[in-house]
Amino acid sequence: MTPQTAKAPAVSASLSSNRAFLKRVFENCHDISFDHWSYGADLGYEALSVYCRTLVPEDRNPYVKQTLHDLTGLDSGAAATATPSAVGSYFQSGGVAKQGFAVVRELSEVVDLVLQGCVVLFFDQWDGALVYHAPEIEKRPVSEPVNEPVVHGPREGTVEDLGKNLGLLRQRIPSSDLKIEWISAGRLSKTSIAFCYLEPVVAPDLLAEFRRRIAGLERYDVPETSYVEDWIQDSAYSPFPQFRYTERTDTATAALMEGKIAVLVDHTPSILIAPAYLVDFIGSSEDYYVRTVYASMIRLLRLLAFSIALTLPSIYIALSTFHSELIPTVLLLAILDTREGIPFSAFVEALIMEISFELLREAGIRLPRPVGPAVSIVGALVIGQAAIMAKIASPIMVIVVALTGIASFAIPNYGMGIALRILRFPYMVAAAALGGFGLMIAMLLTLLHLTSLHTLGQPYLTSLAPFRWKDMRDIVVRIPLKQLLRSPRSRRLSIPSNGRKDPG
Amino acid sequence: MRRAVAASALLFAIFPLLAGCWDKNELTNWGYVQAAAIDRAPDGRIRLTTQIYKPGSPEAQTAGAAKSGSFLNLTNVSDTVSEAAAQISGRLGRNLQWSHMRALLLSEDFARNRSIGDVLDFFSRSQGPRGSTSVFIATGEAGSFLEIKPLIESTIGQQLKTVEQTTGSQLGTANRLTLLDLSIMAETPSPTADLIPRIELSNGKPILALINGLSVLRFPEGTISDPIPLSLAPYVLMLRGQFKGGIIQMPCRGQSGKPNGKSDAFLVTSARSRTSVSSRKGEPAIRILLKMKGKASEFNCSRTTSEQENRAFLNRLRQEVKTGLEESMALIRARKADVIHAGEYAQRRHPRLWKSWSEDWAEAFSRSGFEADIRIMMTDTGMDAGEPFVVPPSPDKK
Amino acid sequence: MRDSSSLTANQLGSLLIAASMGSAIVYIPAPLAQAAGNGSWLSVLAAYLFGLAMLGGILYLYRRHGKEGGLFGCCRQLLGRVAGPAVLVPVVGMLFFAIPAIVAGIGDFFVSGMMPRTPPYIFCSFSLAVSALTAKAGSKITARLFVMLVPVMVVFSLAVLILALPLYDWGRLLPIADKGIKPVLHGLLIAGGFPFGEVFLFLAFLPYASKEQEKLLPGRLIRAFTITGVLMFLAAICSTAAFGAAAGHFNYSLYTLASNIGGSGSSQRVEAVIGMALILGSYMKATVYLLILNRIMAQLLGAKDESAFIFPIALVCVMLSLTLFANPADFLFQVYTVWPCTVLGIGCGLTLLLVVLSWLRGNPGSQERKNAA
Repeated sequence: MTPQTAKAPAVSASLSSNRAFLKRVFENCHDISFDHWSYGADLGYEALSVYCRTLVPEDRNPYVKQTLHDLTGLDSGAAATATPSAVGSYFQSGGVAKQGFAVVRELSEVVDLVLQGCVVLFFDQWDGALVYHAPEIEKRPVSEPVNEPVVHGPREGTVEDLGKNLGLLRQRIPSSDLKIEWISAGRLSKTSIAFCYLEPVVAPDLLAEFRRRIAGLERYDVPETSYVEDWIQDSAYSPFPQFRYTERTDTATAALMEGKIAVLVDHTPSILIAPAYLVDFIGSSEDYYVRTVYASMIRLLRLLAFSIALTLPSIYIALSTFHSELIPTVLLLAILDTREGIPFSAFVEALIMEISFELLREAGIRLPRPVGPAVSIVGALVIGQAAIMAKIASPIMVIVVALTGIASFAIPNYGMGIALRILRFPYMVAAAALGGFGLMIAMLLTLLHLTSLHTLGQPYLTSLAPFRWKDMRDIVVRIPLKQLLRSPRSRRLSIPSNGRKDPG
Repeated sequence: MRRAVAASALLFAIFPLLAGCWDKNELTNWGYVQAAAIDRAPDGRIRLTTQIYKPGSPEAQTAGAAKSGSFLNLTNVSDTVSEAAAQISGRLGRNLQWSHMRALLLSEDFARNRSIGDVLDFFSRSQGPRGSTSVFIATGEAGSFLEIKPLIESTIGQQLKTVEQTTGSQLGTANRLTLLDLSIMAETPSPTADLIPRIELSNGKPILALINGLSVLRFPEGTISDPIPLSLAPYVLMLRGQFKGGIIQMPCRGQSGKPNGKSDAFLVTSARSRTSVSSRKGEPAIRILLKMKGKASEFNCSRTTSEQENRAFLNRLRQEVKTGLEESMALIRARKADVIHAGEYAQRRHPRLWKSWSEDWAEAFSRSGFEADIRIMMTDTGMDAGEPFVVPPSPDKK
Repeated sequence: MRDSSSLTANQLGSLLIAASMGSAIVYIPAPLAQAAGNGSWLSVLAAYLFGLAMLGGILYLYRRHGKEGGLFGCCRQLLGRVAGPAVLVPVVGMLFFAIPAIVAGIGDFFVSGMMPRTPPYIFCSFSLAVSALTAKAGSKITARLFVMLVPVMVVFSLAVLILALPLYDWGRLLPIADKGIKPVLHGLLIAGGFPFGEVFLFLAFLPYASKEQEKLLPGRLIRAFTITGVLMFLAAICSTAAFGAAAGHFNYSLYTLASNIGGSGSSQRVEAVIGMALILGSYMKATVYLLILNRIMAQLLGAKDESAFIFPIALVCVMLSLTLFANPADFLFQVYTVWPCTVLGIGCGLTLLLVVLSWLRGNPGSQERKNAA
């Protein structure tokens, strides 16, 4: 509540005092319209409609007409004979043919509702106000999410409207077990945050933990889902994302059916899926739409991509600087030929190439679409070739960097890709300082960090760290859906736990 | 929390500086030794020659035309190999990296007069060459072998290794002796002997390194003695069970029973032998069971179209092999060199018998009896039938 | 729901493998081969059986004393309030030797093989730092981590043994016990102390086991110990088959085996990966011992915070690892002569004593039930 509305009076019967109050509150809000019109015998009675011009479409006449039509159509008599008291009694007893109508009696509520896109009608000599909900801002239509394309599968993605998004989810799970709860966050933005879960599937302690953590968020303005992530996550400093994001409704539905909680925020299409384990980042929804053998192969490829993206530059540095005896002789001699004459050490060379690549990647994101692809391709080619000619880098280094970059693109989840990109650099430093031993120390520390990381109270390495053989059916490979569907739908439901029933 | 973050950030920043990078050596700081040769200097000290790979220029690499890289040889004379190696790296300006060494050449002169263990200790102990480096005995000066331009490989070390491999598999005249084998032999408490391939430089152009025999290396002396000639080398290897394949030539005999200049050839594709030692009248009796499989490689005067002819052919073959085996056995018995590891067999299987022989096994070996049981199987005659290309006129048809 | 600080039987099994195989897989059977020659595998076999007996002893103690059956608990219950803790002081001393020895071993391995110029304190300090951080995160997290790492170590060791098949000449195994029976017994002494006899220390970990899995625990632990035994046995046999009389000559048998694989094939140079996997084992063993020492000290000194002693112990061990061993010969003497005797004398003697006392005293559980009834 703003200070102005804190001491707002109730709606008074006097139209003028209502109008005066509202005009004071909306001073300098030039997009709020106050329309006067008259009704009744000889147009003697006055009414006022207040609405926000930028939210409500211009032809608000239907609302007024509708109201008067409702008035006359029933046993109140002809429109000309409508009186304020008749109006009041009619609307209060609920006779109206338009959905979304409400009667309010507090001016503070009136202010909130006008700002949310409602049309408010005041009638002189009636101490209530009529509210119709009518915002009609053009939003993006439902389309394929840009960041999660698939070859085979639905192309339905969420939009910036919370209602529409929830509708999309509801359509996919038309069951009363899908519970959707709302909270409103922020004094100024009054954003709606919704979280959904499937009641018989989600673990009760997980839900309780989630509720515990999200409490207190109502005070703050939340423009995007990532604010929610930051609020409820276990570790802010870890490079590994503890929650997943998706804009695809099928991914969100699958996650809900696995017993996860989905969080949606108004005005943003990103759905937050909590909790997310490390093994979730290896899969993508498309894995379930293609054949088993292919899906398993792709999964294994992604595991390889994971390790390459993380360790290839550091392995190269460690091998060439400390352990050259481990490179096969023929390859070594070939590398020697190309490295002769390069003024930098392997580590500096790697650093230069990696940083150039990161710059290219960032630039590619920011460039306007017509120019983007051309520049990134040309940039990569030119920089690579020119670097070799200028003896700044050796061909093998360019290959290593290119392979690393490609591998990090193969990881379906953007957040995890970022985590690996970040971690690459400390690994390179460790390899440059102490060779294979340094690399091993770095890997052990990473593993230790991952093992002690928790997401929403659950171990991050679930399925790996408390190791479950059965879960590997859906992580490392993807066994035929016939078996996956039969034994509980999700791999994680293979463990019995109290309070959780089989969704049947 | 903030202190923890600050502390870890500080540690993280210091860590690379603290590391000191003692072992950090760029690829370009190493001189990669491809082959090494050890000679005996006139004053009895060790002369070490190392062949170091010299990388080619990157332009040549991208142009793709010329062959990349070359090598240079550096020599030093010293008391120990370690000292010589250090001197060489001082001259080169780079540290020597031994882990890519392919071949080690010892000059015959050196190996006859000094124990091989003198130089092997360095190679085994240091962070050095793999146990899979091959060892050769070089006739003449070992260092001069490193001057040869390799035919196809990039360095002579690589070429020697492949020559040894191919000779072993195609001709059956060379075995493979690696540093690991030498280490094992050196640690064996009882006297043993083994064979090292022996190479010589050919005459004429291009100059090649050829394997021309097998030297006998004895432990614990660590020295070599007279070589086994090339003609008997396959048979010695058969006795050792190391014959991988090769050609056996059988001279043809004409009508009169004298050699008529033609020969048949039989290609052995696999050979397995089993040695057993027993005691006969207190002396060791060595028995070899040799099983060979092969195919006809050339028919110039034999036929194997009928069962009789087949049997006759195989008998001739068997006789040829038997003669060879007996000749080689006589040679090594005369040399008192137990290169067929009969002593090892006796030690393993008959420890009690071994006790009586072990004081002077060389003598006992030279007095041992020998018996060979040879079984040969011919799998096929190749694409053609089992008769010579030009069929000699049969007596009836005249 | 499962108690969050208790370990499953599988996790305890992995910890046992880590603790017994950890640093041993790097060295075995080199010292045994030096002592017993071709009969090293006999020593390993006998030592394994001995270790199994020890394992049976500590399982028996655990079954008798339940949650209180940790090393400290058993000593106190069976030997009294004063003698119990007093007897543990030598054990503490032993652990203060073992952890620096393990870490010094890591340093030696790297310095002699892959990175000769780096001073050993770098390796010691970094590995112990990671060990300390792991231990500080708690035994639950350590167990979870090791369940992932132990298969890596086991698989790599097996892979080396299998890949080296071309190198084996099985005839080298004959004659069995070429040096006679006495050296085999000497080898048994060494192997009995390191690593098989050290299993008595694992008693300190058993109280962490979860209640529901109590029935599974003995089976899983024996299975884990057998995996160690089998791997050690295979390592001994394969080293002898590959190197014959030279098996005692190489300091690090498995590493040397790996470096000879392949010849000129494509699976050359695998020894670095094996080296890393082996060092992983040493790190795991150091972490487990850190946890055990921390627990014993915490119980001895009555500390409230369970993990209070980890960092101080780690610091002391780093210092010790640099000063305990004057030269390589000293290291060999202390680790292969003094240490096995200490383990057998103090450790196994203590276990035997506790088992006997426990058996004589009858079942304390049944006593309480009689009192309660």
